[in-house]
Amino acid sequence: MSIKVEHISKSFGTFKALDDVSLTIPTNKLVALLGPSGSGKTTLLRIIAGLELPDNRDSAIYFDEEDVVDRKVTDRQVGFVFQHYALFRHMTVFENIAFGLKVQPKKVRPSMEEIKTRVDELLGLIQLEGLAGRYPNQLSGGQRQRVALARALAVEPKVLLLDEPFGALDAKVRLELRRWLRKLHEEINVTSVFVTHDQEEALEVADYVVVMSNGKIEQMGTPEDVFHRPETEFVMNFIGQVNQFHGRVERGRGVFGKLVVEDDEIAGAENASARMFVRPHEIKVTSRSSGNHEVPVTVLHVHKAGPRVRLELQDDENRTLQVDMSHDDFLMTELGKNDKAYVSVQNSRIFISEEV
Amino acid sequence: MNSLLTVGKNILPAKRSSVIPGFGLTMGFTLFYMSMLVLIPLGGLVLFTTSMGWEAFWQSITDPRVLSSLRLSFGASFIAAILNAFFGLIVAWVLVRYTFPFKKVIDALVDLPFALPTAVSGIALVTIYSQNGIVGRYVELLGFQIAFTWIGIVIALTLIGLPFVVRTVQPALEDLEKELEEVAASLGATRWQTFKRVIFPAIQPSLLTGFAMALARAIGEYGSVIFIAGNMPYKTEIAPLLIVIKLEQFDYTGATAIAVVMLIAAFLILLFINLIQWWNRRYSDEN
Amino acid sequence: MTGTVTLQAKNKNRSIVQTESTTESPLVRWLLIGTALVFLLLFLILPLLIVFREAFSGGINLFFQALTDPDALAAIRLTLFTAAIVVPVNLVFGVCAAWAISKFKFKGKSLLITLIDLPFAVSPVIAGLIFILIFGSRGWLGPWFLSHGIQIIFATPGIVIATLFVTFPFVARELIPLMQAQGTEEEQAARVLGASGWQTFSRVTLPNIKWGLIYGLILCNARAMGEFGAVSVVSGHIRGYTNTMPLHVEILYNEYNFTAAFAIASLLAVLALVTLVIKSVAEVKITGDQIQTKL
Repeated sequence: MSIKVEHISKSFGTFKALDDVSLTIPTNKLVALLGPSGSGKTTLLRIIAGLELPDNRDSAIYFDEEDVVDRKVTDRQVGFVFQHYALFRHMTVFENIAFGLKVQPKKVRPSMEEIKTRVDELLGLIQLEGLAGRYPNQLSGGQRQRVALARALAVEPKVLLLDEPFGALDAKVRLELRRWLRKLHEEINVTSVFVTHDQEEALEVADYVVVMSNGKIEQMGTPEDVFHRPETEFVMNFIGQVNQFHGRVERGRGVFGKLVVEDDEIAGAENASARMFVRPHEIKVTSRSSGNHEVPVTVLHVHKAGPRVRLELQDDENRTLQVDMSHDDFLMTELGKNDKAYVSVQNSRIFISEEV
Repeated sequence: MNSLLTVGKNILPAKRSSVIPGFGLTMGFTLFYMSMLVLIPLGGLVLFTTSMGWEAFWQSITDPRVLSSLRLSFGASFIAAILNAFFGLIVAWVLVRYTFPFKKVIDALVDLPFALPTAVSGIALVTIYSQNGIVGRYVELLGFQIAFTWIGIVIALTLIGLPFVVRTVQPALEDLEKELEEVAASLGATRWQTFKRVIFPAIQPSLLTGFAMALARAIGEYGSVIFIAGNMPYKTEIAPLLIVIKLEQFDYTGATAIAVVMLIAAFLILLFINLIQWWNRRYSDEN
Repeated sequence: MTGTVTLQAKNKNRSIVQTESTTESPLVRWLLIGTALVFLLLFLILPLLIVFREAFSGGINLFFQALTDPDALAAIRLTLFTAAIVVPVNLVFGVCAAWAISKFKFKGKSLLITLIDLPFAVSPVIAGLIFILIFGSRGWLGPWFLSHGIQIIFATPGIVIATLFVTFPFVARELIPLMQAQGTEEEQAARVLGASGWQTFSRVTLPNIKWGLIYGLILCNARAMGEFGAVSVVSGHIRGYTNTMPLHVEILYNEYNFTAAFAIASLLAVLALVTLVIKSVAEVKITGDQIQTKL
């Protein structure tokens, strides 16, 4: 089932949570809504679920071809998973998972045996076979979230919506669980949307990432797209580490202090202020000058505790640069703290301001 | 006074490292005052009861007049507590969930029975519900009577127990995570199913606690009941009134026997409340 | 004009068709609100209104005549006198108990808290009975006191003691949870900075618990002035001597002097309303304080 939302706006008092948002989520994909807090991602998810209503009348939410905007959450057949699990604490794991089946109208409600079979199946899926009789407070955080997921899946929802599903877990469980979700999604094949503020999580798990800020969608694309081909400054800034330079475009060249860059993107541009973004791994550092477009810098700090070496550099215009490289490459440079070095930009993104 | 301070220190040693002063003084005074005013007098009552002997005790409480007064007190209190559980739940729900005019004033007024002297509510109720009262005269048309019957007693006991259920259920409803109801709705549950299966089990311990507190209060209530009850022996004479009557006749044994039965009931209810709290803790994250 | 109105109604249509996921239909909502209001009207508001209506049913002159009657004045004096003793004593106890319980660790703390609540579980009539057994003319200590010329039962001391008993827990039970929630960090900081014990209490603790204290005091006072059952048992109902206001209400009512009974009752009702107002203010302040503590 695909999801299509059109022209959704939502305000809470004077705060504009969503500002005319339209979005299409393809069938059976796992999509991440990524953004800082207050960007409107949770509100969008809740509106898709039917837990919240859009403000405007011209809005529409299509599940496949069907407009469900007037349909109550009860009838939308969505599975919803909350950050803090929202498990029914007075029910066992079994009863929690069976809840959605037991509240169905008598005509369509499965028999007790069918319910039991279905719940056992789901317990197998979430790998908690032996724990059917436990109460939520006897489970770990990761186990609770898996139960919440099984509970949502029990009613065979058309779409699965997850609001910061790993937000309440510690780092290690979080890592484990998001890989497990990826695998689970491949097994069950339900169109799924999850909200997160953790870019690593979004990039690793999702088929598509929707980056949001200030109630608007900045970019939607594959994880590769948003990481390597950010369309807006916000995305560039928000995803991954980045060095930012303020400067100008002059006759097709970017001039950022002593740093001068030539780029196809700005070839046609004349005289405008501009900002350049360079990822730490896209800066080359050498101990000896080897040609054009290089800037002399001083090594302020070297952080070697990690999979890659991170350098903090300062140029003569007092700008601080973050660079990272492999340990091998770093050894080749023969650099140390307080050494002089030269940097050149290998790859960059330049955004030209509209005003001159 | 000095020995008093050391008493506190010796019996209940505070944490040695505490830099906060005054444990001996405050604990000493607390224990002294509580013993003099509450513990020793109550202990005296227990002593008096044991000294009267089983025979005398049994004879006192199996007296038909005593039995019927106890039956009336417990029965009417139970009905009043049930009424309070039902309507108190609705009042608490409405106060927490909805907005309507004068909500804050009404919320504050719920505590009125705590603040209004029982004698005042007693004479007010009888004025309203007696045959020519503003409510009583219409009830009269329906063919029954409230004042001077057991129904009047139930009404008085409902009034004085009214705040308990509301005030215990209110915070439980406020603490209820909204997500639980949203999850239930997303799983296809109707509002009524959500209430029955999700909300009610969550607030049930508070409701039971409020019910028990209203019940305990009603059993011992005197002031608001005696005006509306009519106080006919065997019919509308409540147990606390019978204690007073027996005291006026200097029948200390008889009065104490009734008091002991009522005290035992009160302590059983206290125990019940503690059990609810303990039982409810098995779902909480702390254990 | 009509056109706009219908258009607006249509615009709003959607939000009426689809209610929020966690609330009820307007019909259910108003049915519940209606039930609650009728219940409260019959059990709370009507009794309150009737007190004032009856009090003034004989006109304002009769009302003041009832209040200035010598027996009424004596009852008012006795009630004020009793409260003036009971409230401060239970205040001191409440603060001491709350201080010991909330600022220190010791064994048997929860037992102590339960014991403090004990008088709430005891019927007021039984409270009166207990003191009759002790101080009555046929009680254990009564004859000894009487032989020394001290009458406790059927006299003011009995009334004060019975009232002390029934209002015993009020201040303590408001302060204990409040002070437990506030912890001991501020007091420790004050001590480290060199404050004496009394300075620590009066400058650090007291401002933090001020509204909780007022809350407990006002409830204690309301009960002290309004107590009926316990006082009724020990008072002896001697007009002009051992009649408190609630007892005077009873006597007047039983003598079919309804207007006078309700006149006195209306004073007590005003006291109750004032209590509720102060209580509401204190509640708002306490919640505010707690939010501040959390931040």
